[in-house]
Amino acid sequence: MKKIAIVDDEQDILNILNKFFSRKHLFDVDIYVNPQDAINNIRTNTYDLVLTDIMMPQIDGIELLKQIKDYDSSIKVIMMTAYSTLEKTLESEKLGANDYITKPFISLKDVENTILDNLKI
Amino acid sequence: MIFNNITALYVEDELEVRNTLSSMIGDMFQNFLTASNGKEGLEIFIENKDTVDIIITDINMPELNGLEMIEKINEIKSIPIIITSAYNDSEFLHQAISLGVSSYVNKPIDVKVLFEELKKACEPLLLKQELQTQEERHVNQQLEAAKFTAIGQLSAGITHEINTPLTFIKATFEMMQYDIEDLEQSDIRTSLLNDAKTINDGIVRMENIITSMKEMAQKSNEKKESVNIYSTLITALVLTFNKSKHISNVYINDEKFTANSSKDKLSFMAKVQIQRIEQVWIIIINNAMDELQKYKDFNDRKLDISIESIDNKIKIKFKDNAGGIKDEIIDHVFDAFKSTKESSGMGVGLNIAQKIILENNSTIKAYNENNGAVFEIILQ
Repeated sequence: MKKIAIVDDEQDILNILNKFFSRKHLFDVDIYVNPQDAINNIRTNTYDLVLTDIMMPQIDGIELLKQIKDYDSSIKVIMMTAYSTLEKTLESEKLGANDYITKPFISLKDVENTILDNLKI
Repeated sequence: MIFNNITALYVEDELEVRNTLSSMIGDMFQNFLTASNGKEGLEIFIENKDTVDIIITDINMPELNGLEMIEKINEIKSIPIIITSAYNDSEFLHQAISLGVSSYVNKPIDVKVLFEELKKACEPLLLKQELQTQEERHVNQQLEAAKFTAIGQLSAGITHEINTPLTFIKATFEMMQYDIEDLEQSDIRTSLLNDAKTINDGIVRMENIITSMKEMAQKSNEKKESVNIYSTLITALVLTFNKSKHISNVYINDEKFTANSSKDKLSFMAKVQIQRIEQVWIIIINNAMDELQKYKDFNDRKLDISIESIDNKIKIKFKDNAGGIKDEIIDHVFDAFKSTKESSGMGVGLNIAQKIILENNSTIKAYNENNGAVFEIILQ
């Protein structure tokens, strides 16, 4: 089964995404509220895809994207972004982000479909 | 009023002369005070020393003559003075000059001459007033701008803070509805699903307001750069694809847009604020999607974007087939807070788009064509 990591500094957002994805269990999900933990685990756990927020304290989504792509460019990275961070979204596109999801989500189903599209499931 | 904001004091002992001249020139001033002799003139001046700007005075008067009065006034304040007199001997003129009198008008008074002298004497005052008004206006503008910036920063902060809880409220509520749907059929299940619809409408409305606020919070001080406008359109389409892919097909120069569309397929160079211009495209695309969404069949919906060069200018057209803009609002689509959508945000998107386009020395207009709305932008 494909494996994804979700990184967001808001525990509530992680919880609801995790709960939703575990209903159908189309892929395995690990959640990280601290981006540094995600970076540490990317080398040990093999993720097919990382879904990350852009605006996070200390290590932001852009930095996380860089580190993931430096380590293994085949890992898909989907950025979660508020429209107010257009600048960052463009920057992440240059750095090889594979897709974008706007916050608030259109729907959880939409988030799932975007992940499935990128995992080619 | 010719001498706007100017207060004149006219001192003349002969009632008839005083009344005649007052009726002729009094209305030219903001305030026109009169006195019947030098003593009274001095008293009135002292009472109004902060407001009186110019004095017109006769010389030969009882109690205190004109020159004596001027001497006393000079001790209080330096002020333009015009004297009117039948005297014209040289000793008197010397005295008047030594008192710093601005000018001299012979009696009987020729109003035209007096008017010219008044103009000369008041000119510096008027100029000074104009400068003051300009300065006040400038200070007010700066204050307004500072206030606006502060409000902007505050709303950007609030927007971001609200966006996060809104994200998990919306998602959690969606989740809750799946749980409700899984319940066995019952009155409670039906009632919960009905209530859920109301809550959903509320969430969507809040979301739209937040989107509008996010649009407003974008930076405006970006430098202009030479950029391929075609690729800014593709970027905007990529950034809105998340939404648009569920709503409508989008064509750019008759080719269907996909997530893999190349940014460099065509080249249309212009010097613009890249991100601000991309923001304009995003606003227009999102607006079109909101309108298209109302039309039933996905396959019937279409957003056509075209870009072409015309006389060294670039023309970009966004055309949807969502029925067009209603007649009653077509002249106001770019006004702030005049939302054209029934359940949308604050109606600031297109207003912002227009401001950005104007700041980039370009034009934007909206019209209807073949059952759809058209937004046409000409970039210089």
